[in-house]
Amino acid sequence: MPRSPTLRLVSLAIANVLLLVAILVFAQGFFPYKPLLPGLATLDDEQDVQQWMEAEQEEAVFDRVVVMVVDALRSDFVYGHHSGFDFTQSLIRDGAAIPFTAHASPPTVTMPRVKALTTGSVPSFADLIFNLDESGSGSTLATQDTWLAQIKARGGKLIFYGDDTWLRLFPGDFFERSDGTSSFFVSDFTEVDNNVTRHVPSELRNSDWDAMIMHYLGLDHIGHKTGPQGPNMLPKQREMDGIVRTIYEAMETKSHLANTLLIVAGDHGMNAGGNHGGSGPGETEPALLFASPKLKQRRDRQEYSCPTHPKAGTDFHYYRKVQQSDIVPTLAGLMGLPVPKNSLGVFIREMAGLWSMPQSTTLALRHNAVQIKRIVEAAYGAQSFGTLVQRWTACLSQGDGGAQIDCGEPSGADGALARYWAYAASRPGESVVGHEVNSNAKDEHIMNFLNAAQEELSNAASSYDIPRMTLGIILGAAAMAFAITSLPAIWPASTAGMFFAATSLLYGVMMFASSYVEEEQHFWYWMTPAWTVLLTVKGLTKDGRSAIRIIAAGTVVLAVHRPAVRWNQTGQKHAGAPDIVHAFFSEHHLLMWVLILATYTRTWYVLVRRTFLALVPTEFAVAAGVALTIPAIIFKLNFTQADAPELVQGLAVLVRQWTEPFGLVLQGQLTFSLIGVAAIAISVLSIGLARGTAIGKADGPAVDVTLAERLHHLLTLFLITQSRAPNIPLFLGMELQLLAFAVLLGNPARSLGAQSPRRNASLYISELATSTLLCSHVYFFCTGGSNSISSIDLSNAYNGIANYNVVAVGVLLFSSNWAGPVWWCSAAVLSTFTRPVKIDVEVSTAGKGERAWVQDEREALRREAKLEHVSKVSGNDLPEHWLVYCASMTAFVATSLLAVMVACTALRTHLFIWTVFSPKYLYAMAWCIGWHIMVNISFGSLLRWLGQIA
Amino acid sequence: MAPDAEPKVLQSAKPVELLQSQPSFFFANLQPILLLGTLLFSFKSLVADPVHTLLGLAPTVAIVQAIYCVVCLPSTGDVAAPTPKPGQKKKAVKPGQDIWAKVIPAFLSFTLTIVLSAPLLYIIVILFGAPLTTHHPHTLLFALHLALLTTPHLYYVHGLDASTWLRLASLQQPIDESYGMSLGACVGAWVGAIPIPLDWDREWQKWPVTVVVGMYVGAVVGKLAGGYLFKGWKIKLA
Repeated sequence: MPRSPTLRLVSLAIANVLLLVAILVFAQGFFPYKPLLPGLATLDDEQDVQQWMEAEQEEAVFDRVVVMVVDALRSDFVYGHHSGFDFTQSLIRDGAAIPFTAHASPPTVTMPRVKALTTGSVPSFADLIFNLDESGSGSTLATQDTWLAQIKARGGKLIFYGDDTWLRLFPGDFFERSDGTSSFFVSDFTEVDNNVTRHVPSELRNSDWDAMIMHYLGLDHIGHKTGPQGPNMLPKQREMDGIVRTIYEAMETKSHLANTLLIVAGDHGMNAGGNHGGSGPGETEPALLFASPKLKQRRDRQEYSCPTHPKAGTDFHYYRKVQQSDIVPTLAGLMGLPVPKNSLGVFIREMAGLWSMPQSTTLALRHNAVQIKRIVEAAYGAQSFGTLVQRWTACLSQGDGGAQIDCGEPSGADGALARYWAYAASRPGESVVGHEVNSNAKDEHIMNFLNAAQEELSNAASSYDIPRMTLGIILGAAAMAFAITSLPAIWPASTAGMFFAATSLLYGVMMFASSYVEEEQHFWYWMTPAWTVLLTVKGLTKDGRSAIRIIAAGTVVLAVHRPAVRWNQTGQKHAGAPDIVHAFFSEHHLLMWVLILATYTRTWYVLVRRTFLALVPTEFAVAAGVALTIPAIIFKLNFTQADAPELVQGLAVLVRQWTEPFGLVLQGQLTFSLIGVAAIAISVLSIGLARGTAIGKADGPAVDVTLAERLHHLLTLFLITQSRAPNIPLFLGMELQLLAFAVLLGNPARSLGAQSPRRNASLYISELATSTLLCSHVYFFCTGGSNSISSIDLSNAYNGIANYNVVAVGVLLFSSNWAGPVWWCSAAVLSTFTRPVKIDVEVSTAGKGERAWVQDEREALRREAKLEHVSKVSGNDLPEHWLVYCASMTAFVATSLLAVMVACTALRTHLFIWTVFSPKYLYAMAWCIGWHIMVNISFGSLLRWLGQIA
Repeated sequence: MAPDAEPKVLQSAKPVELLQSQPSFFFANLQPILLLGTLLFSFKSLVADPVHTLLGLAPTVAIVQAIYCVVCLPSTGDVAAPTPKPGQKKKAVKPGQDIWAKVIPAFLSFTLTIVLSAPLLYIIVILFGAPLTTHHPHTLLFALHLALLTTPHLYYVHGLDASTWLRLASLQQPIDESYGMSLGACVGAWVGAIPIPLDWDREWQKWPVTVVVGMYVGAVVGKLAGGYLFKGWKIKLA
């Protein structure tokens, strides 16, 4: 049932708009935006506490705090038997330090973790989306309630040294003194830390600050680079231990530091590969340690042995496990500060022994409980929660006589919390019999409430907005329906159409299996050879084509595919297994650079031959190619030297010395601006030349190089610049595969028949769509991508950028992680155009030289230009090929997105929802918005249009 | 090949009929039971020690396949023997006519299978993603088994005629029992790779157990489907 093109165009547009809406609506329900209580908490407004008991303020135990954040300080680095923290371990043994394992909830990346450590809230994946925005000029933590803001509100002063994430979160003059360090290059193990340490001795002599925060990055860099067992790990741990010693000894000797608390904390851990972001083993288990000489004199002291083993059955669970957010109320209690309003932390009871009076503990817990109760009220409604509490209080007070009265079981989470609260609040009025015992019982009840509230409020499952998620699914289904409507005909399906549909369906089914989401690459690595063989087999059935040529083309696709899938090991199950980049290139970096240079040479050649040659004189074309390629190579060389020096070693020392004075940012900017200038110049020249001739007409005569192809080669250079050095040779492979696909996809039976070849290639468009879809995904995964947050490669996101810029970083980040998929989309556009195939040429130039070939072609073109009224009947169905391509891609994206949404909804209580399915949804968003709508539909259509007019 | 000759060949392609004899029917039906049975009973040792099990199974499978060729299938010469008139009733094959006329093509078929098919399939299997740097004996033996299940009967029936093999490779040959078996084994081996990445942590998920099982099941399913359900069909790639 053929449908009219207009109808299909309309439904395609509707489908894509619906896709966008569905994504956003679902995301709002799946990653709900938790309303924040505005303003700073003050002690005065805690009326409830004063109602509870004698209005007194617990004494502040500490007046200063030093927070030493060591990035990726996994628990075993401090507490294990192979730790370099000898001095710190001796502090734990002496009772001067209390150790914990602090649970860091995913996403385990620095920014959300800093939020948890300062506000006490539990940042979710939503924060990851707003990560870019928030670290820009948007909302920061400066206006939120944090323990830093509380110190400042009291008139205290803060100083900060280390990772500049903090300075982005607390901008302006929030800190009295600060020195930020950016972590552009993970190869930097020493500078980032020395930059912090050099301030420590002088600041320890100063007495004007109330809180000193340090954030060391070196250990994280070592983890990323060489893993947790790397050779630099132990020395770095000793270095960090030395800083703990410096601070602790200053606390012992200097009088102004006598009441200082030292907190040593990791913001997150790392997995066996040294990466983090998800919730794999080790990633969520950083160390947390409180140290002060005063801790030795605490009551009820518990002894800790150290070094020690993790809890049985775990790898990184040492001592008691607390939440990272627990630091916030603990610090507030010990320093006599109000608990920040949005904190979900629970006072760490081990620290209570610091108070001489047990009532102080109770009071601190009360403050904590009242503060959390406000959040409970905000979540469940103050009115309804109040009613529930009244019910439970009334019921419990009946039981005061001693007899237990059965009040029934609470219904729902709020009911349970109300019961805990009623217990916690009802006891103070009772008679005091045995002060100590009673106090403990009170504390128990408050702790019960706090723990229950923390678990309930941090638990993501409770905060899904199911109606919104359902609406998102319905919209997604509608998008899929419209996408299918926009296809010209569903039945009878072509082979490629069936394969495409099968791919979409299988992919959708796969989204429900957590292991297949983690190991998605296998699906594409598995489908692609099958498709290649099918395409080859089909090619053999077409008439008029040499079987050898077809088989050779199929073999080339497979022969490139096979090493490409081994290029970077990806996925979770075998993360860190040997692959070409990590096991082979690290040994043979010379060969790698030969391949990289070969790729650049090829790019230079096509830039000259295809992009420039017909527009400018030969000499100029060669020069332009050189002018574009050389800065790109030098930038890549210097960048790699900074990012991964082990891949450069002693290569091209002279070049590097000579370019030393020019910063990397400048080199990046030069490379990008040259590409940009070339793109504009080429477009202007080409369009100018084509205007008014037959070339500019719709489905005009085939030209040797379309504007789309000229721009494609420039795009290739850009994408190469955005790729990590070891991945660059893959571009050579992609070029080879594209050539092979041209043989497999072409349909010479039709173009041979035509007297004058048209611009639009005659091919089965669903074959092109299937090939593009498969290759895009294969190259996303084989360049190191996966469905885990920790595999996002940030190294190329700041190329040529000196100051943070959301849009620029976003574009660079996407183009570096999706370089392969973007390239294949552009290549798909090229495949829709033909070159003037050599039919005339072969006949006429027999025995003539190269020159004659060119002459003939020009002659043919001229003849073509004169034939103004070319009949368009033959090519009438061809221009809308692109519409079919877009419709197919939309159908796939809609199907996959719908599957991911349904999977996320159906499995929302699944153990893996935050580790597997949520990151997958973020990736699905990136594929849909970034790859599909921005690249395939928008950029692809633009390129296609440019190819048609020039 | 001459391009103008091709259409003629295409038209003349016919599904291969089994030999019309009692032993032929008997063994044609026994073969899938033998293949699957052997696999079923050696599954445990296949999981425990794939290399030795596959090595031990190879002669058995080869013999089953060889008997199948000799007893059930017409050899190349028989097919080439012209049937004078289209309407004429098929000549009954005399059993035990000349045993050497069958054994020699069978022997050649198996020689080709080992010398030509197995290495070629090894390369293809590697290109499809089989381990390249490890598991060499596993992959080699898997390729050998794949070769044994896919090609000896095709060599036996079709010989080495280039145009026939081009038709076989491009799915132009009408489906019959032996062709169905070959296609089924290939598809089955491909499908057999699905469970490998799942996180069930079972012993049998390791290479190449699942693909071997998939290949055998696929071969049998393909043989039955090709022999009964889809006999004479032509796959159309549009």
